[in-house]
Amino acid sequence: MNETHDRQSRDRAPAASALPTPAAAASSRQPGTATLERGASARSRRGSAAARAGDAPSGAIAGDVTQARVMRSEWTKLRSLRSTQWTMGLAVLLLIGLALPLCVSASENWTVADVQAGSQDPVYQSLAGLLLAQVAVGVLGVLTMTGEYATGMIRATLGLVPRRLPVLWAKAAVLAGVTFVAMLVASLVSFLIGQAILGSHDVGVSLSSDGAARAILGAAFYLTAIALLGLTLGALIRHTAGAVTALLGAVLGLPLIFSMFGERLESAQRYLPALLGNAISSTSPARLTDLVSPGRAFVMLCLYIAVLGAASAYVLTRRDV
Amino acid sequence: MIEARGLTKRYGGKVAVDNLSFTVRPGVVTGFLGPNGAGKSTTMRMILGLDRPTRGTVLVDGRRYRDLASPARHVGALLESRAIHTGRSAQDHLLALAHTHGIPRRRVDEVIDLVGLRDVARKRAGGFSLGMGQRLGIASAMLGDPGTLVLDEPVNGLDPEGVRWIRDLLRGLAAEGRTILLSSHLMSEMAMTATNLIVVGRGRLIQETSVEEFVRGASGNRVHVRSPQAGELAELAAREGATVTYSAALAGASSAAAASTFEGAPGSEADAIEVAGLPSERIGELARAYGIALYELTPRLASLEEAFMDITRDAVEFNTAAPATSEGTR
Repeated sequence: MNETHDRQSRDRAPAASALPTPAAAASSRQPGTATLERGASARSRRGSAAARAGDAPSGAIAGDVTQARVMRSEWTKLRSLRSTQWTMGLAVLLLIGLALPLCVSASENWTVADVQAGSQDPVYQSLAGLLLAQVAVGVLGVLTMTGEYATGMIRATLGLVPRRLPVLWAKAAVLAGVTFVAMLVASLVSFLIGQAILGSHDVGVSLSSDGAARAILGAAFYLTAIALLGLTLGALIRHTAGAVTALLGAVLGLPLIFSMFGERLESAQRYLPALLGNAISSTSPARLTDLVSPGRAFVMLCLYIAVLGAASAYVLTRRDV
Repeated sequence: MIEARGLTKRYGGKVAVDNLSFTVRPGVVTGFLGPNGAGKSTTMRMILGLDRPTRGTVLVDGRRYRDLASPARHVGALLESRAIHTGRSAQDHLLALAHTHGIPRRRVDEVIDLVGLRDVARKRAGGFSLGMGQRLGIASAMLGDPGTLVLDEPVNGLDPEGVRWIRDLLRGLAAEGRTILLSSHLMSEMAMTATNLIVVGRGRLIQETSVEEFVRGASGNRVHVRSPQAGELAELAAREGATVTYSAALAGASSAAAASTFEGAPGSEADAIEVAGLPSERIGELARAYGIALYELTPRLASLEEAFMDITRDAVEFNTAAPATSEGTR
């Protein structure tokens, strides 16, 4: 029964061509009996469905759902929203825009000895715009998820991908890819502009200097991690305001609260996302003494994403939408 | 083909859908009727795997919705709230949905033309009217050329032309052998579009039947009788438990005059009465047995609306008058 129905639906031409205009459909049908008769004739045709398969115009218009297809769908969603362009543009602007005054200020106050001793970090100085850029990419991450809940789009999305998890992975992959590429370019530009300013007072470093390239990659990675944290918080909380509050609280609020406890929480404070971000985008040995190593910061950030990602996956597959 | 077996959904202590079983067959439009809060939308969400049933199963083409490799090929859905991101254009919205199943761009163009949104396809959906939003929703549902359509209040917000368009579209799609489940609170619309009916109240199945049967079974049905001995026949019918009233308008007399005729001996002129609660066959037999001449014997069926109000009255009253006790049913 089901098999024949399947065959019949594959056999059928798509509805658009079967019903060219609403007016034509209207004129050809009487209420009541007409539909019954047509329904009956459609059913009676089933027996010969296999025989007619030869002259079918094409196979089914819809293929199976695959991870690659869901990723393409999510890419279309991300690129077709103005909020993506706004938040990403803002992130780039903040990252580069903040490097200018920071490096101008440093170039007037720093001495060559400071930099050589490692008590000042010209690399981080040119990347510190990430402190504001992280808010923009974090909000983008949140919106990727909560935008669907706020508008009801999530029902269309999960209706088409009922296994649900491919949607989460696709959203994460697309968001991470776009954020990393954009932030890597912005970090590089920020670094080059910053070092040009610092270099005019001989307190700049070159791209080939120790740790510089790693710090640039690290900044881009950290911002990508914040976007993903936003995405997972969006999946868990499902409301834009709530998820943004949670994200900002964790990234900006927690370091301040931890520091108010003084030495007690000093050793724990370095594992907060914000300070891991500081660690992964810095090169100064003096600064690094208070922080974890860049390698450990990378692992810790991955761990945050993995834990929150697993929680999101658990919640997404179990909750009603 | 949709088959629900013992479908139950509980939210905390409240039962939204209670042991619901029904089958939606291909080839006809099946109407899903029930008062507000009867569990129609919840049932539709369970069909689509959006809500997880507390108990029971619902199968689409013999499989659970979550197990379908290509859901869009089997089911297209339009849910009560718009499932459209307001910041995206209609075209991008459809394209994003189409990509999940590898549906080609030309199919997106086809469904845009099918629902008549070509002129606004590149505009943001946030600016759409309710009717345009419904059309976009229907375009989304049609993307995968599905064998089954599940539509929650599809004519909501449509102008008369749009309502007619939906009706014709759905009847046409059913005639192609598709399965169509349609919920609506507009009874007249249901009467014109649906052939079969699933009637629910308080989450329970009240009737699974055809529109015709449903109306025939309603207590609002009457038999219109014209006879020179109407008074005599009225007494006989009343003795069998029927409720008899004079149809004053048809008799062309004032109610007072009608009443006096009823009490007095039958005149030579034919009088008209309305008999409720007795089938026309029984009235005919009574007339023959007592030698009463009949000029007219016409069954008058209640409208779908009357039938619906009649059958779901208990459910509605229960919900409005005593919401607390509805929890007590579990």
